Order: sequence, then C-alpha cells, then structure tokens
Amino acid sequence: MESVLLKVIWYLVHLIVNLFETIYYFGLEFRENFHNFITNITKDKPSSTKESELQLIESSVQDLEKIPKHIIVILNINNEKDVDLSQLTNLIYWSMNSGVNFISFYDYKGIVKHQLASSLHHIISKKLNISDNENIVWGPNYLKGSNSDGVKFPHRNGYRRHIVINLYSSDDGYGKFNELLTDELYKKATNFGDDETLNSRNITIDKVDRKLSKLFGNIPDPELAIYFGNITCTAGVLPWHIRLTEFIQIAYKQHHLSLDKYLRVLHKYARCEQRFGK
Amino acid sequence: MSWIREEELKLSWIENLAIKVIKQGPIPRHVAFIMDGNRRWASKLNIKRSEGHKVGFEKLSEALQWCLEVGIQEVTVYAFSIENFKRSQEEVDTLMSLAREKFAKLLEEKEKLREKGIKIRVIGNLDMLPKDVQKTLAEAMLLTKDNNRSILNVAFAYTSRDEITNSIKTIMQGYEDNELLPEDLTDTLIDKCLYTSECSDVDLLVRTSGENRFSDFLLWQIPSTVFYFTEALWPDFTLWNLLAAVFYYQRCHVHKKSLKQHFSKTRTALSKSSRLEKFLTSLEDKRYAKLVEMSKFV
Repeated sequence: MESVLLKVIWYLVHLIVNLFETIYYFGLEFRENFHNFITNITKDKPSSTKESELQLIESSVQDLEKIPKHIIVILNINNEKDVDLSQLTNLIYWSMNSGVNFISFYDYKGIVKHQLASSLHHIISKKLNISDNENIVWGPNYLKGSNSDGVKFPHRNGYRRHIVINLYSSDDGYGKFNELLTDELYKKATNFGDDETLNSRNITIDKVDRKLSKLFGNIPDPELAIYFGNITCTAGVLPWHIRLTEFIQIAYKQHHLSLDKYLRVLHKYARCEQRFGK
Repeated sequence: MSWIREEELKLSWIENLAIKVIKQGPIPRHVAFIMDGNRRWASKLNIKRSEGHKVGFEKLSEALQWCLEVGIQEVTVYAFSIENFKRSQEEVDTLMSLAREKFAKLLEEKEKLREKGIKIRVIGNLDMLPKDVQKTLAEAMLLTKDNNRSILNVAFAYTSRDEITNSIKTIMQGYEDNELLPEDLTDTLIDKCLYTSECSDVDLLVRTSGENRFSDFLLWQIPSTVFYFTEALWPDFTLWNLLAAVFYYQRCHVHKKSLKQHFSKTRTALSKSSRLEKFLTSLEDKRYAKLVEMSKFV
C-alpha cells in the first residue's frame, strides 16, 4: 500500500514539474511575441529587418568584454524533420556579425553533417546576400575528401568579417583519436617519423593537442556551447576540446530562437569568469 | 572530522519522505561532483580560505552519507586539479596537508571502512605529488581494495587531458614492447587505460557555485552523462540540492538512455584477442605493483 502511494506521489511530482515547465516556456514565448508585436506597431516607419538586426547586434555587442571566437551549437535531434535550417542560418548570420569567427554544429547522430549539409549550404546562399556569402568558409569536414591542411581563407581586400562553418557528429569526438593513433603508427612503421612522432617517451599534452588540432583543421577550442531544450549534456561533443567551454541554454525549441535570445547568451557568456585553476 | 560518520543520519520526516519518493524512479549508479565554491564561501563569511577548504571536506563526508541513503553506489569528486598547482604556494601546502591529515585519518578507520564495504580509489597523476602524500594515498587504496559495496573515487592531481595523454602513452608503450599489434590501437583501448578504467560510467555530474563548464574533469567519460549545475556554493550544498539533481536526472533519463545506446553501438569494437587481454591484465598488475611501491616509502 505504502509503495503504491509513494509511486503515485513520484508520478504526480514529475507531472506537476513538467506542467510548470511547459507553462513557463509558453509564458516566455508569449511575453517575447507580445513585446515584439507592440514594438512593431508603435514604430513610426517600418525599417528593413536586416538593417535593424544589424544595428541591434552592433549596439549590444560593442560593450561586451569578450566575444567567443568559436561557438559550437549542440542540436538534440532525432531526424531531419527536427532541424530548422533557416534558424541555423540565422545563427550563422548573427555570429558572423557579432565577431565570432567559427561556428560548428554538432548532433551526435550526424544528421546535419551527413544528410543536411548541402541543404544548409543551399539555404545559406539563398538567404544571405552575396557579400555575406563571400565571408563564409566551409570547414575541412564539409564534403568529404576536401583539403585536410586546415581552413583556407579566401583572399580578400581590407578588413572583412569571415566565419568558418564546421559540422560534427559523434564520430569526430572519439573517432579522431583512432585517426591519430593510425597516423602515428604509420609514421613509425614507414620511418617517416620525426621528433614530433609520438612515442611513449616524448608524449606530452601539448603534442597531442597539436596533432589533434591538425586533424581538426586548426580550429580553436570552442569557448561557448549553446544547446536547445532543458537537458544539459555533452552528447559526446569533441571530448578533448571542451575543457573550458561554457554550456549555456539558448532556447527551449529551435523555432523559439530569436536574436534577443542569442544576444542574451552572448551577454551571459561575457560575464563568465574563468580562473584557470587559480 | 572523519570520512565515515559515526552517528546515524538525522533526517526530518519530510526529508525521509522525499528520499522514499525519489527512490521510486531511476537512481543514478554513479554521481560525480565538482565541489566548487569553498573559497568564495570563505570570503563571503570573511574567514580564511583554509577554513573554507576544511568546511568543504566536512560537507563531502555529509554528502557521501546522503548518497548512500539515496542509493547511489559510486561517487567521484574533483578534489585537486593539476591546474591547482598554480595557486599560491601557501594554498597548495594547505591543501596537501589537508589531504595528508584526512587520508591518515582514513587509515585509522580501517575497521569501519571494511564494515561498510567502502572502497577508495584515487585517480590522477600521483607522480606529481609529494612522496609522503603518495604513500598515504596508496595505503588507503590498498587497504580498501577488496571492499565493494560503495566506491569513492577521489580525483587528485587530475585533469582529463593529462589522463587521456597518459592513456595514449600506455598504449604506445605496449606497442613498442610488442605487446600490442597495430589493429589493437583504437579509441576504445584508450578507455581501458584511463585512470578510471575500473570505474562504472558516470550517470550524473553535479557542479556547484553556478559555473557551467567541466574544467577538464572526466571529459572522455561523460558522453551520456546528465550535467546538473546549482548556484549553491559547495559548503552550502544540502540534501535538497542533491535530491534536485537526482530529480533532474530522472527527467533526462530517457534521453540519457538513447545516448548511451548510441555510443555503445557506434564506438569502435575492441578486438577480442588473448593478446589484448594479456596486455590489460599486465597493466593492472603494473599499476598494483606501483601502488605497493609507493606505500613502502619511508
């Protein structure tokens, strides 16, 4: 009897919390939509949205103490339908204009990487204008078999913002260590080895870091990981690279994503103080 | 202040009820803690940092008791990171003498540990520690190695990158000594040579004091781990914080299970050869012999 009662309480508590959470997120969305609605009708003349977005980004980014160089977006998705490519394009566009140089998308099943890469490519080139498109560099893991010597930036005149896009799946986390071991063995076996070739006497953290960095096309470690939903979990994202990464929730669902939410995350990140063990 | 509390846990009726209720759902087998906030707590109260660390240790023994009560069988704590060596000499010395004192105390509690079946493992690069600290840690591990009811892993002189590098080093050594063939060298073999090779998978990782990063802790081991962070500073951590973490774990449980399945399916399979088995057994023996040697330091 007692155990049945306890079980019932357990179910009830979970149910109530789920319910409150739904109401909470619904309320947040409602507030934001209502706010946007009011600002839109009270505006004198409707300005082009792209332009006002850029202004908003510029004004809210300029007093931030730090901007992440590399943002990794963790997507919790089960199939292609769960992905909103235009929202991913927004993330790229906002990041590019906030001064972020690298943006990576990770889902452990590799749905974006293996099934949606060309659709994403297509949507980006359609949604963004020509000069924005010129600033986008696809990382070495887009389209297998492309160059592996790292990211090559297109030649450009003067100062222009660029952003490098990478797509990752769980294979990139542990699998890259397989590649690393195979590479080193090959060098040992064929006498192509030099001082840098790993052996049990000369191995150091820095050496492993350099080798992995090469395999990853010299991307810097992501300083910020953003995720959707209420589950905080690495889902196996690049184990070597996330030791100092801040994990911050951006929105409950992909279609809830907005520029305001994105900027709020950048502000939250800028306030994080890192002590590096000290 | 000792590791194992003599007195029975005194809980109010509502705390008892909450524990009974939460046990109706899935309980994480293995919980890891990043016990952050001792120094901030001390400066908040305007007392010495070393006091903060002491109170932090007391909180640990309290939290261990709660974990047992809730049914958590294995606990890992991040006690001292390799990066912490960069702190002031004074603070490093304080932390080392705290470790000396607490582990010496542990050795006195031999009988109690056996009675309760508690096994202590220290994970980390022990070579970086003073010889006498190494000795005490090794003794504690050897003393409790046959206990198996509950397990406490203490990460000391630990970072995840150091651990992964060390594991690759072990594998390279095996290859150079002709104990391994090229096809044995896989990412899954890295798992088997980590300091945590004998630990079970971490189900839930709790970080206090509002930080939401891993700070080089168990990075390799946590692909399907639920990460819970709380604003509470470690000395202020309560049973309710722990229950909230477990509750959160239960809410994420389905997602966690599918992640776990994914990784058990997609990680490279370990070749089933007697060669590999022999290598791993001999690694275990070597590590054991090293502990024995450490414990003999005079």
